[in-house]
Amino acid sequence: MKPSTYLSILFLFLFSSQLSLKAQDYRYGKVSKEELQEKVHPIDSNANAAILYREVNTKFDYNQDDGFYIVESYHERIKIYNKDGYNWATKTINSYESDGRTKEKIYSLKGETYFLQDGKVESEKLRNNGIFEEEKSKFLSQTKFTMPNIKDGCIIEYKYDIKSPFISSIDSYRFQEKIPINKVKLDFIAPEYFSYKLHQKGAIPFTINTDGVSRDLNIRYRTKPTNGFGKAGRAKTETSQLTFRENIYKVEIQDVPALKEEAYAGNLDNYRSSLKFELSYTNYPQSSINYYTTTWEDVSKSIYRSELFGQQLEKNNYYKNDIDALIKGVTDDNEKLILIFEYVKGKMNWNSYLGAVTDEGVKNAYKKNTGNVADINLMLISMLRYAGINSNPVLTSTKSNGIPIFPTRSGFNYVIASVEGKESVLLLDATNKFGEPNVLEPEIINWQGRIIREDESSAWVSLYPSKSAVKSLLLNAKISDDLTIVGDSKVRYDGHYALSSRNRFSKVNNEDVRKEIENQNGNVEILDHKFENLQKLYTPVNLSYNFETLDLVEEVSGKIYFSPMLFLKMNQNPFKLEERVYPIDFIYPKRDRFLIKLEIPEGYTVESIPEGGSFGLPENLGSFRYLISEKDNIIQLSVDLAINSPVISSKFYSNLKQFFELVVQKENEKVVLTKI
Amino acid sequence: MFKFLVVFFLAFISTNAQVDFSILSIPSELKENANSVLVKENIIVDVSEEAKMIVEEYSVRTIFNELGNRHLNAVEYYDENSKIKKIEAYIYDALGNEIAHYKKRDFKDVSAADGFSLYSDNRVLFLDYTPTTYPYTIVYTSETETGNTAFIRPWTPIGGYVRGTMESTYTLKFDPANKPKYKADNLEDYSISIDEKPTEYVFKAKNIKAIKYEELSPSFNDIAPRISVALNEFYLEGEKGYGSDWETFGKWMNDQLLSGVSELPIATVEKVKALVANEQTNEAKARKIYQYLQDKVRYISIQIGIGGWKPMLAKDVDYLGYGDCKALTNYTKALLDAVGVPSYYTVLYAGNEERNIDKDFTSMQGNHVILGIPDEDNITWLECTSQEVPYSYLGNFTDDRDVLLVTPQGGKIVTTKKYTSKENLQEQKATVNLDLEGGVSINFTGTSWGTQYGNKFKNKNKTAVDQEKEYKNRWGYLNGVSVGDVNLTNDRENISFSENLKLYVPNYTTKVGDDFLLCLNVLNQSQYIPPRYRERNQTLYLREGYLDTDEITFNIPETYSIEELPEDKSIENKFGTYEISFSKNEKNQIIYKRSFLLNKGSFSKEDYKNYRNFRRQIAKLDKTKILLKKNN
Repeated sequence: MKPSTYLSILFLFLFSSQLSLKAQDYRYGKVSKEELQEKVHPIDSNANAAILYREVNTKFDYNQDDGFYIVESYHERIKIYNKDGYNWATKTINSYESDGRTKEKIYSLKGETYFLQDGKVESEKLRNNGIFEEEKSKFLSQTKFTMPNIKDGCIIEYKYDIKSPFISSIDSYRFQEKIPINKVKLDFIAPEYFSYKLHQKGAIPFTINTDGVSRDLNIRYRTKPTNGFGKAGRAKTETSQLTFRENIYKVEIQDVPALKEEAYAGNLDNYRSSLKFELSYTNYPQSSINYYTTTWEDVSKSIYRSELFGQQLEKNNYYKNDIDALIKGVTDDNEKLILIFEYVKGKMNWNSYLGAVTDEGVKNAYKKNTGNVADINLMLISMLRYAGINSNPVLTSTKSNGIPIFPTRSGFNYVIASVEGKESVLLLDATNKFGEPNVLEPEIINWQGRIIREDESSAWVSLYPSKSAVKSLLLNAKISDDLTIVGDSKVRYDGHYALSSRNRFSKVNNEDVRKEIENQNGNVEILDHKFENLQKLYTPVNLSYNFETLDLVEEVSGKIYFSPMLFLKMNQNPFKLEERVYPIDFIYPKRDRFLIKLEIPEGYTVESIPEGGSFGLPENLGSFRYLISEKDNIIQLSVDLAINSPVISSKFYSNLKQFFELVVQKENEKVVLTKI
Repeated sequence: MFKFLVVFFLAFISTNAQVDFSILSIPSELKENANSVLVKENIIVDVSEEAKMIVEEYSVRTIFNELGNRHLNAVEYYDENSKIKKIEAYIYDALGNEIAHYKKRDFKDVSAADGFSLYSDNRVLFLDYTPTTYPYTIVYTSETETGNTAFIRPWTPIGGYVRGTMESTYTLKFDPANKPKYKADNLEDYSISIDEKPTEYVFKAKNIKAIKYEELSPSFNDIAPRISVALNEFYLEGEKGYGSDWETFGKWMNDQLLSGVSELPIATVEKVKALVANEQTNEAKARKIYQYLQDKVRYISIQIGIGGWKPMLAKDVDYLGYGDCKALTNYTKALLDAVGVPSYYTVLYAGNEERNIDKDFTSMQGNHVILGIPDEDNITWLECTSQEVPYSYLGNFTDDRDVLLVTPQGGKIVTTKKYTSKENLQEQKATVNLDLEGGVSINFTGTSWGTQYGNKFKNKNKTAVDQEKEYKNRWGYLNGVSVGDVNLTNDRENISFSENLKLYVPNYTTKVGDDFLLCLNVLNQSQYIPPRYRERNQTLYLREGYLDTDEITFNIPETYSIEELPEDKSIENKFGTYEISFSKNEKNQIIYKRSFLLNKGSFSKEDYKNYRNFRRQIAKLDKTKILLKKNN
């Protein structure tokens, strides 16, 4: 599947929406009795709460100290139907700070809870003892409040303003939540000096109405002229009038359905209807245009040109000698690549901080042996280039950061290294000690990344592995007269399966490994298990063990029954629900192969074995094959289960559910033995 | 005494000589099962001045691997009433070479909100260290000062599972006029010395091996060595407190923390009086008040200053409609007072692990508050933070443990309700119709009581989608199951929960030629088998007892006949009783009955194996099948 297909999967699903035509008074404080009397949401009876009205007004103001800044006014009215909706009565507002002076400020916060008392509308105001401010870290403060007197059926209403100096990073406006929104309204008004590019997202269609208006602004400023001797003269306050146009953007949407939650769907934010204003340039009077970002190309360039990125790739003094020594006499590029990759992995220790740009700076990080993602991977790219290998950074976004759907710098929070070959691209992440080329951690395998080449051109590359992770298992066993089964098993884990075994088993001691394997497999006792290559990369991980099971064979009416897959059979369908909205993320294609040889006890004969068979998913998305035979009291079984696409569209969900139902059923079918 | 002198002398030398932080000195038996070893720890707690506590800590800890990083322990809390005077750390590699040095400004300063509180004024300084090599050693020094002497950190020479300790010393300096008390737990198996001097106590431990977590064992608190320490006269946020025994302590709580907080607006008093006007008994009144409370308030945790210990004013809760456990309990108490029903504020440790308030050691304990209403010899308990649990219901979170009842006369230790296994009953009945394709349609009814009620009653208010999810997971082994006609009844009066629903499972039976292989236990297959330990070290502890009964009637199509039925089975041992029985009748019906009683309690470590065997037998018997023969 091409990356573009994943994108279309993302936008495939649609919600139905209905219009409600009630005239409502949305002014602050005008909560009606009818609204309070409502017992369930008229469209979504499952809703625990609903946003009756959300209004956001964003405008710009000016003062001499701060220049232009944003003022955002929020107004929200929420209906709470029942106790599971009570958490909507508590709200957290983040305010950011880049340094002591440049910070966001929240003010004019007020709120009120409305409820019916003896048929009359009563209310209780939010007071100061319900509002809390907390400094989470140097860069983040939170204002939290919780509304008073919440009971089933009540309505809360609050409003507040945020003053923000961060005109180049405005959070997305959210038009969809996990509860329905009856009406949401946005007015965004920006002076012509600020040009924003708008990015729409989500499945709910909405239109943006634009308009323009002229605005006069009195600008007051203080001057402190100096006299000829360098001494300050008297300060003067001067005023001048500025006339400019303002661009107006308006959005109004009715009846936005609740955002559904589903397992294995990744980050829900990917599906939320929202609007993002991305500053593309500023153009103040009497000064030149200052470009921010507009296209992916520009975003990539702007990151590349940052001193925390591009320049970090150029430095090489700090490692020159070490790398020279490392690759001395090595001519093969592949060999060099692995040597350098392993060198960085071995030397550097990831401090768990994400980031598409460096934190410590490569040089410092190198000295301290620790750094964030960009510190480590940009260093790797630089070294590879130094060794003559064509390596380039690939900007990516972790799953929790969401899929980068439109071009913003914050859309990327991770960077990895790439080496482009004739037909394929190798992706490398040196923050992971167990990483191999093209074996990335699942958290990073998120749709696609943006490769930036040295000439600053950029392009998308798929992060999904094309090669399947393969698990191959060989099992030999003998059923004894007392119906216990003794045998041995050899398992080989390749690619991503090897990575997950390494992550899971390399840190724990042998006894815990045994317990874990027994837990995974149920009714089995493992003896003499042994892992090979857990620490040795570039080879599959091997696991071998002997086992004994006591309870897998059943005797019914004098006959013996057992599943020839023994403890390896799939017991439950991972997909149980009837419907699905979002695509299913398998992260990487995978293939599980089992070769099983079973010897039946003396004095018994095989009465029947399950039928062989094979079936698959549409478009070759997956397949299952079950082959079984019996000869001379030996049962041979070969099972092959493959999921060929890392992501499967929800339109195939019912196929997928049925597919696994059949897998479970087949794997649980029984061999029947009778006494001779 | 001579021996002490020598030790002291050696210690003196070693601190003055070039200190060796290489890992060579750690005995190999301490490394066994350990992700880190506490090489040396010296804690000095000084409470010799009134209303002041200074804690100095010096520790040397070697971390062997990534999993040991969480034992770093380079962290101090502070708030308005306490400050961190010194905090510093050095990192050494395995050979003892210094690789990093962190001063106070290098520590991260963040809010210490616990994750469920809306707000807490506690903050924390911690070292956010990324190891560059393993093993490594951290040498940590800190000094903190606080005006609160109500809590003195206990001495826990091993801080948790998978950590070894070479040496730990704890010195408590005090004023003989206000001599602290201490209580030692679980010291028996360790080399631990206690030295009492006129103005200080010194606790010392050497060479403690790491403890590994084992499933179904008592909580760490109940197995690890620990000495608790407390003052009889202490200070809490500027208030003096007394706690020589529980009676005094309870009296102090009542008079200091719980006084002046119970006043209610007159309108509210009038309202609740009217509400219970027609009720004759205390219980009937209390039920009405409890319902009033549940309809009115919700749980929100806010912890600021003394508010971390003293309830928010009842009159504030009255208009805010929310509060934490202290606030809501105190509010309920005020409402009950208003209608003349006596009740007691009760402090306890909440959680599924039953932890007692230590009746033999009076000190600030507990993490939760509930309300007790005396009813002759009994006490009815009310959980005031929940809007859903029925009157007098406790559940796993607060049942069967020692708690502190605060009465105007003083404190009293009592035990909360213990649910017997038979009270925790789940009764399931079903009619199962087998179709000719081998599928089954099931008419299911189930009722749950006791702690099993607590596990289920919240399903009632879930959305249809979540209910479906819930049932599909509960019967995850029924391949392809669909769920319909879900009808749930939460009987809050009798505290029971009934479930009524229909299930359909295609291909439930296994086809063998023309015949069907049918597993009779459709609805309660227990497949849990505890993990196997080569060597079990801890006592077996079964935290929860219960009784499950199942009765299933199968309607078998006429075209099939029931071959011989399996034998009835009954297993009885100290862990419980398991019974299954099978019968058939002339209507081509099979009746399957199952009952499984599990006892709660402590058993020897040798018993672990037997218990595992018991569960294995059950897992097997729960899959008992019969053959249905196609009639020719």
